[in-house]
Amino acid sequence: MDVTILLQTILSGMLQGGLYGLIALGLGLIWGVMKVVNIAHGEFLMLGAFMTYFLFNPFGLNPFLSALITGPAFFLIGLVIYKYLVRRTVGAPELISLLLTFGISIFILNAAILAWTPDIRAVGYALPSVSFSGLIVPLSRLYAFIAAILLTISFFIFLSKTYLGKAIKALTQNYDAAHLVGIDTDRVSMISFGLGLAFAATAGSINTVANPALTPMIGYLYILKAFAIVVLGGVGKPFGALAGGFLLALAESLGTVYWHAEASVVIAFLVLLLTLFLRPSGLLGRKE
Amino acid sequence: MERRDLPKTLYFSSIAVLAAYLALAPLAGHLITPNFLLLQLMALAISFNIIAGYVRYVSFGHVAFFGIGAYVTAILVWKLGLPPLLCVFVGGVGATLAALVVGIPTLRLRGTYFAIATIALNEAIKGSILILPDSVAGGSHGIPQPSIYAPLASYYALLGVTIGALVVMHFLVSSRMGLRFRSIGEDEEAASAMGINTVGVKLLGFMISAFLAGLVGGMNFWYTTYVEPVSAFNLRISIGMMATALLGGLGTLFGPLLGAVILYPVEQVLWVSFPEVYLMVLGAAIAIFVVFLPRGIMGYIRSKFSEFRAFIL
Repeated sequence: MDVTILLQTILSGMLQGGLYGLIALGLGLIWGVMKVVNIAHGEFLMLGAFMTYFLFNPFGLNPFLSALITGPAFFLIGLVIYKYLVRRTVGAPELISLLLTFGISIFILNAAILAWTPDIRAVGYALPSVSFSGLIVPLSRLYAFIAAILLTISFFIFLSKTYLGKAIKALTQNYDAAHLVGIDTDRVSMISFGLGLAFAATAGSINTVANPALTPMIGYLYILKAFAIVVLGGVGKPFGALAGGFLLALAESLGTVYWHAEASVVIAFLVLLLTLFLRPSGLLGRKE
Repeated sequence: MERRDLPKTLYFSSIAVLAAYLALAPLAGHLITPNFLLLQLMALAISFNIIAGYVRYVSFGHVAFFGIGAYVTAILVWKLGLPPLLCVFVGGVGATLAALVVGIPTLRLRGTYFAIATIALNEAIKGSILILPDSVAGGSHGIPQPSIYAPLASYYALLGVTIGALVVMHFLVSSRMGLRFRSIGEDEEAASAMGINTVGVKLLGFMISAFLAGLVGGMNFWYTTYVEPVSAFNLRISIGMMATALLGGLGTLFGPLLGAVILYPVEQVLWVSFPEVYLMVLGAAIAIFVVFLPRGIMGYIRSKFSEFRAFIL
């Protein structure tokens, strides 16, 4: 076996893994706080990526900077969606919130196809690659990786240091108990939902740097992957998401190089099913 | 006739009218395909309703069982040349086994894991068929078997399966097993505390549901004599059955039929000329119905007219 290819495969997997962690972050946040799995997560990521595309193409705005616009914009959209739709499903049977967010995702996906056609387009923001000792590091992927890691770390600090962050953690641990000790659970849930969408859109923006090909259909694949990552890392844990992201990306990049180029979805499924079978509370999660 | 008999009479007479129409339409020279697709939508919505309406676990990727049924049927016809009806039956069994494999790890957990695992199953099987050599499952070219072409036979077989499924559901929902399904749907913890083996019951419901979807997939292959991965595992089919069951009324016997009779003409008008608009409408309908009218039209009728309450439609 060629060692350089193996190392290159692992390196690509690691770079992708950081991004996967960021992609799954918002899904895990909403899931943890209000026990709602936002099936439309991938579609919000797609919308963030399209917003970045339209900010880049006429205006030439750097995709990393456009995250500063997509994030807050989708935070506000999240507040509205929570207030009028999601709030009614918190505490209701899971079936209700699952079907609601599934319906939202179908709606967004097909509206996007209608508006922007299913054609592939690309954010034309390219950076050179550097190579050292035979390994090639595309700078675009490296910077996207660094941005994703920094965001994950700052979110972790936000959760542990601020009042709001601690309230979010409290809701994740026990929604009813958090309500009893005087936390405004409805308000914290609303903010968490906004933050979840903001992370989805931000991940979409940054993802356009590393994976520039963009169609309205990209969201669908990411929801499966994001879900597998959250299950791997445990719900509501930023570093869990990062660890899950690394694991899935490594499995995918090794699998696509050594097994089959189209195998990544099959691998994500196998990883998900195995995790559910062996450790349903996640690799880092405690046994329930 | 007494007022309290009204719902029962309405129920049986509308089913009789519908069945008579579907049985006689091909003989009266109507095109078969529209009625075949209407029946297919009904049967799939009945199948989805078993797991999502009564047990209340959402199987997003339910189309996977349709696709598996179609593929198992196609491969058996192709490799062994067995009679189509037998192959369709084995296709149903294949779908049931797939449900067992996905159900065992995921039905121990909350419904979310299950819901996503079914989508993942669908994508993984579609991906596997594309990856496998063409000699195993036809690859991206699919499997054409024009020699089994028999539109009338396959149409009546699907009609038979759909009526059979209705009869089974009619007796199942009021049986002990049906009560177990519904008690899990109402409150799983309470059902478990009452001594119900919830995992086993959920698994059984899922398998029955998958068996029916697998049969429908097999019938579809028999009717069209062709299967290929992208359309057989298309999530659009899942969305169609979900919207149908939800519109008519999840957890009601008559809901899937009513939903199909309403949605199918809409699909015919919109799908042909504006496919994205059609799916957009379905997506919005699913989101709005589940929040504001979670038991669909039948649930609304049941809550408004007291005569309907006692009778489980």
